Amino acid sequence: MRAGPAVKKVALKYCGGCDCTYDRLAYAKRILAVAQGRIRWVSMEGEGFNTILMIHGCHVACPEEKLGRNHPWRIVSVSDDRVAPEEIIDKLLERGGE
Amino acid sequence: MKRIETKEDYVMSLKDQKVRIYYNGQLVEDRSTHPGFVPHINSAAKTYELALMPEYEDLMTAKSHLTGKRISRFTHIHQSIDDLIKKVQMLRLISHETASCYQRCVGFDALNALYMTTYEIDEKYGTPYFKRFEEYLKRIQDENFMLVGGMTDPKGDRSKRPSEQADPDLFTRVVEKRKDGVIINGAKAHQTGAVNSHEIMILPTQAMGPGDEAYAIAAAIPLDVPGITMIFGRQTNEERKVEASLDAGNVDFGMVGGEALVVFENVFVPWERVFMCGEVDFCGTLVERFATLHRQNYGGCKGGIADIIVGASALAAQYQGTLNASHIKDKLVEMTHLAETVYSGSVACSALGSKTKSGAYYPDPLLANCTKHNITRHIYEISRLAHDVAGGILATLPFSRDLNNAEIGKYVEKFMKGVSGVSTETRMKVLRLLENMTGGTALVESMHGAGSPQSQRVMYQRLGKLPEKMRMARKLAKVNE
Repeated sequence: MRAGPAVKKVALKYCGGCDCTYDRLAYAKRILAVAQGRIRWVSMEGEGFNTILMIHGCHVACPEEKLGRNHPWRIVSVSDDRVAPEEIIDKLLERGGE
Repeated sequence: MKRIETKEDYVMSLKDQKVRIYYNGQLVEDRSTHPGFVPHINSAAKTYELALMPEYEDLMTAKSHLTGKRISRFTHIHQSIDDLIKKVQMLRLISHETASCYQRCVGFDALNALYMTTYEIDEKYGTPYFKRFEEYLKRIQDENFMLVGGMTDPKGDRSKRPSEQADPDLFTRVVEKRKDGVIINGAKAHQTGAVNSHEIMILPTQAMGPGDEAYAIAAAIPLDVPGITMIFGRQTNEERKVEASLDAGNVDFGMVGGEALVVFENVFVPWERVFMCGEVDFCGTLVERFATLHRQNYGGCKGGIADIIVGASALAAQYQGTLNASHIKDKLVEMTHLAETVYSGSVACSALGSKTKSGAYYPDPLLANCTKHNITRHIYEISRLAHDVAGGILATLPFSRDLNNAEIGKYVEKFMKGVSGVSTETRMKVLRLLENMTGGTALVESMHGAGSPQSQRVMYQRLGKLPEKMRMARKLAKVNE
């Protein structure tokens, strides 16, 4: 019996959304739809992830700024909706599942 | 009280707490379903709803410095410059969701002002207020109830001090001190969100001096205790709230916060809820801190509301085919400039905030006053430009019932139509939204909320460093006199 494709665990983090330059929630929904079956989303308080998708409403990117550089995670950061959701998923899956 | 988490918890808690409110001469039986209050309840409920969404948690919640638990930011004591800025960002965010006042900032600011000031009162007099206040704070952070900040007294004859008034109740006062607490008489006017809050935090309304000790009172009072009566203020849109049609403009949310007169008639307050009692020398400090914290907000909340006015104005122009006219584009640019100007004031006073002795952070008072002063002008100018862009139709639009009338609806449909591809109803909805946000009570709130313009100008005189500016000018002019 063949095993199904590995599902990668990725943390999903949103900025506060004070003054978004695009509809970040609609864009996030598109990304989540494309990721279905390939990514299991967890919160930052969760465990077992090494990649974070950060959805920012603008280029200030507050949560990423706050995280600084000394952290163990790989960050895929979104600050506008110009990149196709498929490309974002490819980036998130780049290093395989764990 | 059971912890309030969700919008539904909040609405149910309002139903459960039996308060005495009059609306248009009638005693209200159930405030949670009264059509005069529902839009304001919806606005405040949004603060509970958004706090549970991961998409907004960074702004809507904070970590309590007392318990380490995640709490509503509206019950948080600012622990950093970042907290001060996040407060402003949060307000802009909620304005984008409601295009209205969501009321909880007043209680939020009262909590922060008291935290800083009780610490310093205790330091001087050895009183137990700070410790007592911390216990209260833990409770509100845990239960997440809604607190109205009770600042403004009716004040009667403004030329006279509290203790000189013909009617002593025109300033809220202690009429009796007992072993177990105090008895309070008086009233608080213009109380934003009072009818849909659970408690009121009364504060002294102004700086006071010797002889005014009875008026130097700060205390938290549940709104359902005997002796409290609330009388809701008449707004310019209340019949439309009852209709709940597109004529309301902002159908789900209020025009402003929903203000009430709160009357105290022999109200008993136990000592554990009293945070200042007679320390007249701290009234000025407490009032100035509350005012600064509250004036800090306005570029966030009104900036966010201005964003919606700009958007609605652009839609109105688009629907009537004028969006690409150069003068319309220029007016929208000017409105955007003014909106961002008020927002930058709020961010600036936060960024230049400082740590108080209590550890809580406090915005720069001069810049906070400047922010609010700009609101008393810029929101009027933004609204004036919105009226200019939208056209006279804003004042003469027929009723929604005319649009829906079997006999004459076809005329409204035909003659109120703008560009093809946009229905008349759509155009009317946007025009009504603009009308709702740019006239009547909405404008007066921008003028007087968080203090009338003159109160900010008094602060300019006090904080404007005029002697230092004169010294610098003397130095450059090489004069000594």
